[in-house]
Amino acid sequence: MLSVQELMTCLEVGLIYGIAAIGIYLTFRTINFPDLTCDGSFVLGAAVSSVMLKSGQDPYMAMALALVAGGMAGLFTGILNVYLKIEDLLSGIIVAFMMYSVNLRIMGTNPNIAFMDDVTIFSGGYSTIKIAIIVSALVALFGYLLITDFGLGLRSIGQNKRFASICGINVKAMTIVGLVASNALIGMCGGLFTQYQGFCDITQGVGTLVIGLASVIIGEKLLKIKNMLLKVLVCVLGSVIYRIFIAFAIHSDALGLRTQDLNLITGILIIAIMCSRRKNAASK
Amino acid sequence: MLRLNNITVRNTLVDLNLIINKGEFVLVTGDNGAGKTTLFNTISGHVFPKSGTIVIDGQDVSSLPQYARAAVVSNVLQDPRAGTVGSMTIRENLNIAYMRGKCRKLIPSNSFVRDDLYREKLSILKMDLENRLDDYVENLSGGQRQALSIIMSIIVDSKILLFDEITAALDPKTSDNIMRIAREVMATEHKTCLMITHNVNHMDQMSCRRLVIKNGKLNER
Repeated sequence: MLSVQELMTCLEVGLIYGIAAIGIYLTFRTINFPDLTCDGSFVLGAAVSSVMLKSGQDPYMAMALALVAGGMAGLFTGILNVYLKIEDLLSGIIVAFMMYSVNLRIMGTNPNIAFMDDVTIFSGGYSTIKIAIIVSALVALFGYLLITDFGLGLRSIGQNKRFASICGINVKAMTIVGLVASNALIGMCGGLFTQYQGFCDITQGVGTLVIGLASVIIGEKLLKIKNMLLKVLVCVLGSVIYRIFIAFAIHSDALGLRTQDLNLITGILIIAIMCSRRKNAASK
Repeated sequence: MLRLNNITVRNTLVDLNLIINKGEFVLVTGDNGAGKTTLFNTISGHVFPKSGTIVIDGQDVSSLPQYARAAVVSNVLQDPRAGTVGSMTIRENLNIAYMRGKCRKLIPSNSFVRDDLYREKLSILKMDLENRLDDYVENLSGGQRQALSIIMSIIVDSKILLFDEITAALDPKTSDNIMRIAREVMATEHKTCLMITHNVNHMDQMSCRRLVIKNGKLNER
């Protein structure tokens, strides 16, 4: 069985990754753009944040800068797609690919940086409360954004670009806004998570997309909510549920699963949810 | 007033000239592939002409993209699914249309003032849509969706209305109903309006200026 300590860790990591899930929700669900930049922008945020911490900067400032850096990665993907007409999937892949080199540069060619002794957001304790405050603020902000006229415009380009254009929405600009906001969140998530675990690794972004997407669809599946304001919250809850599910799967002796089976379990979970959803749709 | 000067679009429209006065209602006909929809797309900015200029009320809009022309041109498309968003509610669809040509700010899109306006406009349709603002548009019939499209095109002011075969995807009874609604709306709104139709009955019901597109040119009839 899981101890209380382990459950708290699930909650904390789930909440932190919930930020990335909001980002994934913005691209995959809101503007309907399959953005693969996220694996790169996550590490970018982590790298920027860890270098800032190493040089003794304020940890909140480090997180803010991670947010800005992630946003710039999104901006780049947006420009590739909108102005250079590179396919959506490919522009994300290219940017994530290039990010690897950029991230190594930022990290000073070290593939990993540890900062066990440096001051982080979590140095003073109360980590669960701090994470909860940061995540709640973001949920409120983006939940509100999506019910405004601007947010409605953002959502409309994901549903029907022709219609959006007829209604006077600048589809190109909105696509870029969506990508910037999404990757800024993912960069910030990277920046926060790296502070939480006390080190930064060049490979730690692998799977951000899949985990984020898993969170979004778990949330959608378990909590069928139509209220726009709550849909953002559901992404974060999905992320926490995902962490608890994974922890249970790995800790149960009956299944005989180990930590290295994580990606396998996550993948099977996503496939199972997606299939069950299709079955429901067919039987309607 | 809408003025097209020497418009050429690919091989479809060739050196086309047109002047439509303010408040005029014009029917556009022509064979399939003659360029009726291309003409509409050129006016709305969905397609850019190879040469020529488009002037609306003295303003040259030729270089403006579609979204920037939305304040002066409003459209009702042939396919009701293309002109509305199925996965959004009637209110959300109207909210998007309500902001056509305005700056979309970070203020909540729902308000009582807007709801009152939506209910008032939807009641014209006599389809009971005014009591279904929270219903998803994908649950509406084709006719209801097209009726909603018409309301969305007039919910805020525009100078030119383009109706592109708005009844083509509907059954005869529904299409008569939609055409009746369109005529009523036209009668009350007094807008400059262009309409494409193939339906002879609908054409006969309306006495107005008629244009025929043939070989890339417009002819009066």
